[in-house]
Amino acid sequence: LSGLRGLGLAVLALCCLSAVAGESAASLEFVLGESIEGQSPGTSAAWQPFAAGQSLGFQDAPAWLRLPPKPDALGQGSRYLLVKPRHLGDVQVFTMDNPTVPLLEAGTMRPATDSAVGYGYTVLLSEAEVASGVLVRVQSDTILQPSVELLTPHDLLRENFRFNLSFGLAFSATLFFLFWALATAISTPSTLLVVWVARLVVYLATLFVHLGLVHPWLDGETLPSQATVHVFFALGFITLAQFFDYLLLRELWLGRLRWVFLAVVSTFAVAKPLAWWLEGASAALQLNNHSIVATLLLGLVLVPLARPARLSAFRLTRFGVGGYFLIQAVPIVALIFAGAIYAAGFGRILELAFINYSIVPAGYITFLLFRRQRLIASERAAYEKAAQQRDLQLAAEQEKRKEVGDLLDMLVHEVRTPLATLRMAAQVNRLSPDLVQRVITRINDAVGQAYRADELEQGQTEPSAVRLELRPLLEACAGDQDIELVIRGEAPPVMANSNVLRIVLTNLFSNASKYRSGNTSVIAELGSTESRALLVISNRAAREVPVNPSRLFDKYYRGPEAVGTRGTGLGLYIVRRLCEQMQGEVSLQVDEHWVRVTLKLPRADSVAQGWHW
Amino acid sequence: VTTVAIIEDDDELRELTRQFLCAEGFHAVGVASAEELSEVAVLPSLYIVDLNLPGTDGYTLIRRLREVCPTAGVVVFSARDRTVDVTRGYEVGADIYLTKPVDPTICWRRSNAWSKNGWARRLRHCAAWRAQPGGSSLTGRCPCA
Repeated sequence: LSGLRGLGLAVLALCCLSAVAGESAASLEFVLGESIEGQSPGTSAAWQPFAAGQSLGFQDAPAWLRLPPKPDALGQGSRYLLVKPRHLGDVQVFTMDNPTVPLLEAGTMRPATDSAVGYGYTVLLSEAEVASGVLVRVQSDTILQPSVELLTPHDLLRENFRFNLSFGLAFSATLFFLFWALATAISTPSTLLVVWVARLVVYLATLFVHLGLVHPWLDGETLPSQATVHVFFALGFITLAQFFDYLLLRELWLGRLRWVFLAVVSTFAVAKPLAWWLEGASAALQLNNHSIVATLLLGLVLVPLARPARLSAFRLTRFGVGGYFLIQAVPIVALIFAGAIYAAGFGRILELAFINYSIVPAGYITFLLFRRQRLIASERAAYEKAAQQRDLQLAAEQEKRKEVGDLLDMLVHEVRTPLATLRMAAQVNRLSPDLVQRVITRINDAVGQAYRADELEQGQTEPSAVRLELRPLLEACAGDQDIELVIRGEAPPVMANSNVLRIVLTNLFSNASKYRSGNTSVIAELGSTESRALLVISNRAAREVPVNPSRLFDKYYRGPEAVGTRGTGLGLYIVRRLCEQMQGEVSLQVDEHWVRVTLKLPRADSVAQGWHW
Repeated sequence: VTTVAIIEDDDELRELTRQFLCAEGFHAVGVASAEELSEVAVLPSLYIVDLNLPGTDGYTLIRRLREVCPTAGVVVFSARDRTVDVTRGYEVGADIYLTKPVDPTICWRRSNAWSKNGWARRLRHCAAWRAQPGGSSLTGRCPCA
């Protein structure tokens, strides 16, 4: 927070310099008091120099401002007299020659009058009127800081341009903040955001009232007068802003200290209408100004005492909230200084403060909310990503469980069915050593296949491949299965692991043996392509059955062709997985009554030396 | 004599079961799959079904049997004895669920008990079919007959 203090002091010094460096208008003089009965204020001896925009504080009595006669104005054309600000309660303009008949009567306590500008009151003075000198009587419940200027039409246009620019900036910026906050409040509602939206809406209304844009409709009869509405919005906006400040402080971890702030804000919120009712608008507005200073300074004291709130939805830091209070407090403090010394730049600073009190904090708060939204968006994206990962993990887990369930089903079936056979055989006195041996073999085969499938699932493979001749391996495997094998053609040596290839061939011959017609021979045809050795194992099918080749290699799949034969549904699945591991391929075709399984394995002569799979 | 169809893909078990039931006085026929059941010449009144059949599985077979033979008896012979399997077996229409390895005596007692009540059950079903709203105007035979 030390950096923040330094920044605050620098801005404060800048504002004070700006205030005291305001242009002086030595030609303008003022005197306080009602129109001196029986004598013209133009002849009063109490005139004092007055700088344009100088603050006279809260005054019950009116102030008289005098533009001394200008004989040299003759021949220079007419001039516009511009009296600012718009929220002065009563404005009257006289010539010094005739201080009883006003040239202009305007102000918030009077009906709306035509004016060349929106932020003040104008009257067109002739050369003679300018030359004779001008008297301006102003009175207001608000702080009295009148500005009286004589402008050429060109100067007036330039003033208008500056006003339109600053008003357009304030209006469009606030509108932008409002729409953004509204969208955010709708998407992620919270008390802070709702009050923020309300504050921006009330600020816009206050801006319109402050500049007299609604003055023509406020006649003081069917609707309240401009003065009443102006005071109401001045009090209302500041009170709402202070409650918003409390909600902002609540985002920090202040403990019971935040109740102190709320108590101060609430006290002012009650006291201001009471003061308006009992003492009048001037007292209420003075209290309003005091409340601004009090709450901003209290906020600046409380923020360093706070701890960062870990659970805050907005993730506001002490630096952020402290900065918010500082950028509002500094111009106010500067105003106090400037007001105390009646500096010429008071009015300018006040205008700056008015804009600053709304636009700069608004921009800052919008930035904080934007940062929070971005944080929420990134967190949401992270959560969604994590959720997707969890879904994937869950799906994988469920798939794994299903695999285990399928494996268990297969094993239970392949164990209990032979046991049922044994039990039934014993009941009908058909139990024989051969039957017992078949049952043992069947159970053993099922368990072996399950282990083999599990090894494949876990990625356990034989470590290396060697150069192998297919023909001797075919003959050996066919002999194990006790089938008559006819080998045709020749194939080059393949690069494979002998144990793995033996498992593949054993499974294929086992299938051929189970599904062949009678004791017909199984045919193995050898061949080759440029990079592969080909092996086609064919057998004549026992019967014509519909075959779905795309599903035959699925785990546990036993199609209609498996009717009447035993099996785990794992054989062709194991063959496919092992062939893939050997960089080979396997496919199955059914042609009339013939079933052909085609194996494509890498040729040893086309595989680089030292290659492992 | 009650005709029993044994739908079991294991040749040895099917044949041994058939022999056992024949010895106990049933007229038993064995088929290896649901698809082969249509080849049985006599309409069985009791079916012994293995759930783990190649092709059409046992659950589907029982559901179809229940549609065409509402009063036929269905006994499940299955290696699966998870609660979910047994529950599903009864849901699709099984009357009795036996887990392999089945005690042949139990198998015989259950089949015999069902057989004794079979005709009474069928008569009740046919009477209920005729008594349903508009049943008197129905022509033809009860689906179970």
